[in-house]
Amino acid sequence: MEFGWLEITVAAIVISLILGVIFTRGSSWIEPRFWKNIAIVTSLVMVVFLLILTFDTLASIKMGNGRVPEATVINKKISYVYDEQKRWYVPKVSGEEPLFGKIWSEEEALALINKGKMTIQSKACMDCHTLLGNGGYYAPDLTKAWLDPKWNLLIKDMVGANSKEEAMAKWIQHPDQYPTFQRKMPDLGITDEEAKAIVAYLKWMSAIDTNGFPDNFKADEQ
Amino acid sequence: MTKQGLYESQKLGLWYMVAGLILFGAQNLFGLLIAYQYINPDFLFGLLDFNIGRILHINAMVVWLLLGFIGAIYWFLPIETGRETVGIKLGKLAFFVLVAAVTVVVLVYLFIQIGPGNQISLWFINEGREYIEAPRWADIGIVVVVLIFLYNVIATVIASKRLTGIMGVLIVDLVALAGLYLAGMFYTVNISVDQYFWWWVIHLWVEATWEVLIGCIMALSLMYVLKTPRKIVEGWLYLEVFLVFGTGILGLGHHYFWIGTPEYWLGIGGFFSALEPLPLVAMIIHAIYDAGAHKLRTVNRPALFWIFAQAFGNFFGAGVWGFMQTLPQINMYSHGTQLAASHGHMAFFGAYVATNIAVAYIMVQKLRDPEEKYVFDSKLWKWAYVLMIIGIVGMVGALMVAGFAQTEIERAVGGSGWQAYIDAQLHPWMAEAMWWRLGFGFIFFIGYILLIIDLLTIGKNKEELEVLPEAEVSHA
Amino acid sequence: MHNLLTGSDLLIIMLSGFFMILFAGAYTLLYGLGKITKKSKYIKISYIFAIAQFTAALMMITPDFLDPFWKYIIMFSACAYLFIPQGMWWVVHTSHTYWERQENNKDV
Ligand code: HEC
Ligand code: HEM
Ligand code: HEM
Ligand SMILES: [Fe+2]
Repeated sequence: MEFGWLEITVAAIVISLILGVIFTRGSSWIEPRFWKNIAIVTSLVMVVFLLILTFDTLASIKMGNGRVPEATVINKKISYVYDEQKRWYVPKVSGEEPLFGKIWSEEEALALINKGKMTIQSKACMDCHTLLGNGGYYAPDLTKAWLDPKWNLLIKDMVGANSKEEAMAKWIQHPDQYPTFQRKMPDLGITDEEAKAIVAYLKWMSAIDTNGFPDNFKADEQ
Repeated sequence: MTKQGLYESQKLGLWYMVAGLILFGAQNLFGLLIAYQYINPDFLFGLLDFNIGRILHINAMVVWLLLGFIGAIYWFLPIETGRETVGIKLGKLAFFVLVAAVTVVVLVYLFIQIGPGNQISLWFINEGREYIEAPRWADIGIVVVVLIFLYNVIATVIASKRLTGIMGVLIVDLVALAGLYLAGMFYTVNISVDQYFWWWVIHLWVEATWEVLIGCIMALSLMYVLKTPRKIVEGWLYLEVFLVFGTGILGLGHHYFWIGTPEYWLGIGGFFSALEPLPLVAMIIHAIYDAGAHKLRTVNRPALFWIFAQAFGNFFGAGVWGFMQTLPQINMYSHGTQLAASHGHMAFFGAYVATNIAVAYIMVQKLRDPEEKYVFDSKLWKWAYVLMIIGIVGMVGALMVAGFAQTEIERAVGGSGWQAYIDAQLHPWMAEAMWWRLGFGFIFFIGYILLIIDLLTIGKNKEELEVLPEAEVSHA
Repeated sequence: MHNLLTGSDLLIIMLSGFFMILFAGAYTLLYGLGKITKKSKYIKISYIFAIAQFTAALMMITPDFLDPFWKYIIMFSACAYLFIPQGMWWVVHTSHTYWERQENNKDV
C-alpha cells in the first residue's frame, strides 16, 4: 500500500468528522437523532476502511507474495536475522536445504503442508500451544519451533535421529516418551505421514514475516 | 411457580437462560479441571488432556453467553414491541435443535476428542480453532438457529409496526454478529489468512457487536429496573455505538501485529485500540449518574448490583487490562502469555457474565412477583455476588503476576524458545500463581453454586421482602 | 527496538499503563460520586487520581523504549483523560435533566 498507517488513521477520522458534520446539520446534540447519525456515519466509515485494508492485506499475505512464503520454502534454508533498519528480526531464506532428504515439487510441497495444517487443526494443538502467539498457554509457542536449538542440542540424540527433521517427526509422535518438562505432551496418535507434514508446516511457518515476533529468539545456527 | 402474565416469548427466553446457566456450571467445572492440570499435569493425562478440557471450557463459555443473550432478547422483545413474538413455535424448535446439537458436540469432544488430519475430522469432530472449535456441521446448525432467531426478531418488529431506536440498533447488530460468524467457517492452509479472519469472529464479536448487543440489553434493563426515560436510553445507546464501533472496528488491528500481516497494522491497531477504553469510561459515569439519581431505589436489588458490576467489570477487564498490553511495542513481549488469559477472564466476566446474571434476576422477579409489589431482594445473592467477584479478581490477579513473569523471563529475556518457555513456567511467580488461580477458581465456583440456589429461591418467601412504597408502585 | 530493552523497562511501561487507566477510572468514579452526592470531598480526592493518572502516563514514557510517536499519543491521552470525566458528566447530566423535564411536562 502506498499510504502509511498515519495517513490511513487520519483519513478515517477526518472523513468521519466531515460526514458527521454534514449529516447532523440542524439537529441539536441533545436529540438522539444527532448521535444516531454520528453512529451510523462513523461505523460505515470504519467498515469501509476495514474492507479496503482487508483487500490490501489479503494481497500481501498471499503465499509467495513476500510476507508469507510459498510452500516450496520447505526446500530452503531458513534463518532469523536482525534487520538494522527495521530494528527487529526477519526470516531469511537462503540456499537449498532438502527436507527429509528430498526436494519437494510445488504440488508435493503444498499437499504436504496442507496435510500439516489439517493435522494441527484436527488434533487441536492450538488449545495447548500458541501459533503466531495465538492459542493456549499450556505449552511453548510454535511460531519459530523449526528454528529451536533444542532439536539439535538435545532431542536428536534423545530419539536417535540423524537429522533435525527426523528428530522432530519422531519426537512429535511420541512426546510422552521423551519428556523435557514435567508437563508432558500427550501421544496424539500421529501417523508417520502426519508427523512429516507437521514438521513441514512448522518449517514453512517459521519463514513468515511476523514483524519481529518473537523478539530475541535464539535461533539454531546450524 | 406461576407463569401467569408471561408471553410465550418470555417463557422461551427463560428456557434459553436456564440452558445457558447450566452450561455456565459446566464451563466452570472444566476450568477447574484444566487449572488443576497446570499443577498436576499427570491428572487424566492421555484420557482427557488439557486441550480437550480447554475446548470444553471456552466453547461452553461462548455458547452459554450467546444463549443468555438470545434469552434476554426473547424476554424483552414482547415488552418492547407490545406483542407476542412471531414464529414462537419455530423459536422453540430451534431451541431444542440447539440443545441437541450442543449435546452431540460435547459428547464427541469428550469421547472422540480428536481425529486424523483430514477434512472429515474438521467437519465432524473438531475444527481446532480456538473458541470456534465446533465441527463444521455444528457451525451450519448454529447459523440456522441464529437465522431463525433473527427472523423472529425482525418479523415481530415488523408485525408491531413500530421500530424503536433500541430495536433498530439491535437488528443491525444481530445481522452483523451472525454475518461475522461466517468469516470463521472456512479452511485454508495459509495460517495468516486463517488468523486474519478468525479474529473477525473473536475480536469483532467481543469488542464490537457483543458490546453493542449488551448495550441494547442494558438499555432495556435500565428502562425496566430504573424506569429511565426512553429518549435518554436511546440517545445514550447511539453514543455508545459511535464510541464502540468508532474505536473497536479498526482496533481489530491490535491482533494483526504479529500474524504475518503488513506493518501498517502496528500503527492502526495500536492507535484505535488505545482509544477503546473511552466508551467504557463513559459507561461508568452513566452508571454512577443513574445510581445516584435514583438513590439506589429499585424494584430489583440483585439486578441493579449486577448492572453496576457490569459497568465496572467491563471497564476493568476490557479497558484497564486490555490497554496495558495493546501498544505494539509492549504487545511484542506480552503477546500469547498469561496476561492475555488474565485479561480474557476479567473482560468476559465483567462485560458479559454480569449482564446475563442481571437479566436472569429480572426474569426471576417477574416469575415470583409479577405485580412488582415488593423490593426484590435476598441475603444469599450478596454472598454469591461477593464470592464470584473475589474469585474472578483473585484468578485475574494471579494470572497477571504470572503474565508479568512470563513476559519478562520467556519473551523479553529468553527469546520465546522451548527452553525459555519452560524456565518461565518454573519460576515461582508463575508456578505459585497457578495454585492461587485454582484456589480462587474454587471460590468462584462456590459463588456460582450460591447464585443458582439464590435464583431458585429468591422471592419465594414474601414475608422476607420489603413492600414497595405505594408511590413507586404507581410509577411502575 | 530490542537492543534498548531491559526487562524492567518493560515491566515499568506495562504497570504504568495499567495504573494510568485504573487511575483514570478511579478519577471518573470519584468525580461522578462527588457530583451525584454533592460532596466536594469526593471531587477533591478525585483530582488526586487525576494527577496520579497523569503521573502514571509520565512514568510510561520515561524509559527510552517506546518510539516518540507512542509517547505523544500517551501524553495526549493523559491530557484528554483529565477532562473526560467532566465532559462526560456534563453530557449525561444535561441530557438527563433535559429529557426528564420533557417527560414530566408530558405527564402533567
Ligand atoms: C495437551 C497439550 C498439548 C497438545 C494437544 C499438543 N502439545 Fe505439543 N507440547 C506440549 C507440551 C507440554 C510440550 C513441552 C513438552 C516437553 O518439553 O517435554 C510440547 C512441546 C511441543 C513441541 C516442542 C516445543 C518447541 O518449542 O519446539 C512441538 C514442536 C510440539 N509440542 C508440537 C505439537 C503439535 C504439532 C501438536 C498438535 C499435533 C501438539 N504439539 C499438541 C503440549 C501439547
Ligand atoms: C472456575 C473458574 C475458572 C477457572 C479455574 C478457569 C481456568 C481457565 C484455564 C486454566 C484456562 C486455560 C488458559 C491457558 O490456555 O493457559 C482458561 C481459559 C479461558 N477461560 Fe477460564 N476459568 C474459570 C472461569 C472462567 C470464566 C468465568 C470465564 C469467563 C466468562 C472464563 C473465560 C476463559 C477464557 C476466555 C479463556 C481463554 C483465554 C485465552 O485464550 O486468552 N473462565 N480458564
Ligand atoms: C469486553 C471486551 C473484551 C473481551 C471479552 C476481550 C477478550 C479477550 C480475549 C479472550 C483475548 C485472548 C484471545 C486469545 O485467546 O488469544 C483478548 C486478547 C487481547 N485483547 Fe481483549 N477483550 C476485550 C476488550 C479489549 C480492549 C478494550 C482492549 C484494548 C484496549 C483489548 C486488548 C486486547 C489485546 C491487545 C489482546 C491480545 C493479547 C495478546 O497479544 O496475546 N481487549 N481479549
Ligand atoms: Fe481485541
